[in-house]
Amino acid sequence: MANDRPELTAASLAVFTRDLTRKFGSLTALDGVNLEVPRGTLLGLLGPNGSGKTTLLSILAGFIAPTSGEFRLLDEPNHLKALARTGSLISRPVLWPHLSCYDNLRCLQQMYGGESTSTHVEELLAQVGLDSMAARRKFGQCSTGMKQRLGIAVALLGNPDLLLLDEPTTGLDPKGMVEIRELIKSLGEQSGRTIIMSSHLLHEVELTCDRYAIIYRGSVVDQGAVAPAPTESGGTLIRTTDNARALEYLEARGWKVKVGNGPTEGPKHLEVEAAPGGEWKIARDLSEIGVYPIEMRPLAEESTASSLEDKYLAAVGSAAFQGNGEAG
Amino acid sequence: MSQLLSLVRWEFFRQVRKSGFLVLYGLAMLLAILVFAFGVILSEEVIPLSFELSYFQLASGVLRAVSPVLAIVTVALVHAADLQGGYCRTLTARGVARDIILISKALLTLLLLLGFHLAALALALVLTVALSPNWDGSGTGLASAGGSFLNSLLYAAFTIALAHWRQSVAFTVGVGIAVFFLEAIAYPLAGALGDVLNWPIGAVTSWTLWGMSQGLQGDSAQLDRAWYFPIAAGYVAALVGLSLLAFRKFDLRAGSD
Repeated sequence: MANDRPELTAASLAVFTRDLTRKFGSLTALDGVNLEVPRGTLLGLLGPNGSGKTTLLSILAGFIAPTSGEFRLLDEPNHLKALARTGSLISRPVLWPHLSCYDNLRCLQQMYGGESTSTHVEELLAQVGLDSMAARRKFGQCSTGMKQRLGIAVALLGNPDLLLLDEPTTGLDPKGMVEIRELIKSLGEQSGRTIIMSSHLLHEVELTCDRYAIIYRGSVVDQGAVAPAPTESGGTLIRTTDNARALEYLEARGWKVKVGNGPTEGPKHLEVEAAPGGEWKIARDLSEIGVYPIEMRPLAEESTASSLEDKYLAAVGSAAFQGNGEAG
Repeated sequence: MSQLLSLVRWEFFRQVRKSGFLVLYGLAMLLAILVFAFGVILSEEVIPLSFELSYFQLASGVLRAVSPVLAIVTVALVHAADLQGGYCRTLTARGVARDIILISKALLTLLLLLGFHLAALALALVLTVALSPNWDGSGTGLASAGGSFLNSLLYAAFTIALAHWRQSVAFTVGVGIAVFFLEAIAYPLAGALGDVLNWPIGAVTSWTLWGMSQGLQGDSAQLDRAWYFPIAAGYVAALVGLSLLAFRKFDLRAGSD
């Protein structure tokens, strides 16, 4: 496990967990998690589905209790007091569907005991990219992306010192993903604020976070600093719901496309030559034939530094190998 | 204290905007009016009312039947729906103590039921005075209505416990209504059986929710009516205590789309 930072004192930690374990019947969702997150860090919590990311964040947010182990937020012994300074968006935003976005935010601001200023609510809505028309719409009638944005606005109520965000870009379109990523990055740059963001998108963590922790089968198997993001080369790597059709169609439309082949089946991914911002045109063209991007990111120049993908695969792979070895 | 009051206020703000909530209270009020009107017609045409069975008393009799069901559904909306939908998570996420959340919701339930009873009683009083100008205020309507309100609190407390133990609307409404109707059937039958067999079944059933309800209305032969008020308060306190225990102990549901 990477250990590339100086000794930390309790006061300098925003999140501290020791042997945190949570069992659901016979299933061990968290298995002795030890995590130390320094204040001011933007930590990306990586791991495959079911690895325990949401369980860990749910314990920190006070939704569920650990079976054993201990944890502390913001060096505050009283968890309720710590939560008053912590904003969270876990799994999905759960707000009242019959109230407008504005009323949801205003209502929660009052219920949390904050000051009632409509300006603050309006500022928050603007900050997450919800205009006045969206603010008037009932939450139940909002798109997934709008709901996610409002969920982030709720997490930001009261200007918290710690943010716990569970896959915050889920359900957003590519443009929305970039906007929210930028928002999270800017929030992290504000003095002393700590953000823990779970994701299974390595690229997202690479672009947004300064540290990472990989959680696999309920344990933290690796953590360390995120290397600077590789430089872009002017192309776009794209994986779609039907790469073969996408290739055929994009070539017919005049795009310059290179094929990245998988080991056993057709094109694994496509590399499309496009100017910055051209990915929107590619997505639009593909949507005309009912093919949708699963992954879309700028192509990176080769980097000598070990990429997060390498670290992830090494950590998850070795943990899986050890698990199999023990089982066998 | 200020946070508790703020929670009650904003809980009210959002609950009364639920369409289901307005429909429920509208229907309950409509039912009370219809049954009252039906009772008036019946009594005018078939059984002339005596002082012992005034219009006012008749209306409070309707309340007595409606209020436990209303209490159960109110709790399902205010407590169970929020627990099942994951909305309680949204509140606890910012360090609002679970005890305060539950107490604020219990207070709101009490206020809503009180509001309904007062509105229904005011309506009954107006209609009684309008239809029986010579009514001298006799009858046990007011006392009966008071008993009906306390009775609804008893069922509300029971249903709050159900809601917090299972965090499910279907379970809360299903078990609450089932207990209400089963007791309504079983209680008189058990009493009759006890009389025939000379067994003290009535003494046992008088401690059930329905039995307490009878006692609060002054219809129990087991104890003097005055005894039932502190006993019912004890029931309510114990049931809310159990709910607090469950709410503190259990994981909060994440809800689903």
